[in-house]
Amino acid sequence: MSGPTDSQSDDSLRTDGGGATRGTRDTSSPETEPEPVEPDPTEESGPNLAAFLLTAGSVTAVFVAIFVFAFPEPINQYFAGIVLAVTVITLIVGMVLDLLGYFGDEAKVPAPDDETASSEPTQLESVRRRPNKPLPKQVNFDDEIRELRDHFGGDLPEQMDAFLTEYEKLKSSSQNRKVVAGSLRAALNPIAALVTDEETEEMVDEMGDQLFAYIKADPVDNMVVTEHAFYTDGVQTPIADLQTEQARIKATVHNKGDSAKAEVAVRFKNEAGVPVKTAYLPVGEVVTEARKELNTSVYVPSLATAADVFVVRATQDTPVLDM
Amino acid sequence: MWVLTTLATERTLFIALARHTGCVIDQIRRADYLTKVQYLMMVVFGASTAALAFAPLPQQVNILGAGVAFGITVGLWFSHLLSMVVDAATDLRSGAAQ
Repeated sequence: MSGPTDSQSDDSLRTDGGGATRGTRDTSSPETEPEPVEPDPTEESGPNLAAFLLTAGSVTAVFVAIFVFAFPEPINQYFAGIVLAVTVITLIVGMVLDLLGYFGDEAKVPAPDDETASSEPTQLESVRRRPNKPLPKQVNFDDEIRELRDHFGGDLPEQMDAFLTEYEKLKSSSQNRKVVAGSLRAALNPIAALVTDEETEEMVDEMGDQLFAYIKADPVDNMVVTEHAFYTDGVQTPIADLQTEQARIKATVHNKGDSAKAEVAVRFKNEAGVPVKTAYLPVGEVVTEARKELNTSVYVPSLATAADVFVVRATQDTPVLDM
Repeated sequence: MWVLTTLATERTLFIALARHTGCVIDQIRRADYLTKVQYLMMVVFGASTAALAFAPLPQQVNILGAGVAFGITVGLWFSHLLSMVVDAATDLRSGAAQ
């Protein structure tokens, strides 16, 4: 009884995407001209409820048929009954998985404290398999505030009011977040003076460091290509076999930071590891904590045997067709 | 007219079936090693169930063999379902903690 698999990707497909710097853009050849990102109507890369039900139904039918034709009554009825019971349990588990958001339709399962769920449906549409959190993980201090509350015996001191106000501002709006994060970092100083034990002091220092890193970071530093692969005729193919061909690339971009426009850079390299050509593929706006899928064609140059795939900042002149 | 309607419906169903089959195959291809092993074992024991059910053996042996192979297949399937639920719950919890 096989069904759709979970979305864990093969480690061999993983690349590091963050922090890459843009190289010299190669626009000399029309072959590398990036094609607008196409939506993927079949949602091939994530678990899919329809595929799950289809598989469960098909397997049920096959097993029932086998038992009905192979065994005499009433044995075949017992076996068919067991198969149907397994199917019912499978369907129940399928529904539980759907409720847990496993099948990638996050619009059905808004996170409990997701304030943007109703006001920003367009963002939700592009967020799949993960709850949409407007605040980047790096500056989400919900747990730390809880720990501080415990540290101060249940009541937060007045000196923390400024910090809490700024934190609420940071959570409620994505506008000028870095400025608010700067104020938040300043509001952290009185707290550092108040805490008594070493562990909490370290935690407060770490919060300050995280805010500093967040303020300094480029938005695309927080974006990574979590998985990628090249295909031809729907079959995953090594780059060496795709030389001088138009191949299809599928990649997933995960934004761990603020919402920003980005491009996926594919740097093809030869056997010696020397870059031979770089193609830039726009992915458009990727919202906070979203995973966006790129599914487009790219020309693989001759001599290319490997490729680095990473995220770079989108340029103003890049035409982007949002998914 | 109904012939055309039936044909159109069948065509739509066929396209949906082909798409979802492609989707399942694509996901299996991208699954991690452990999941692939689980699927392989399910296929092996599922096929054994069919083979043992129709094998030219005494009927009691057929029933026994098919029952055992089917039981193992179902066990593998349930363990896979359970791991999917655990993964989904873990993902949800880690997402909520963000």
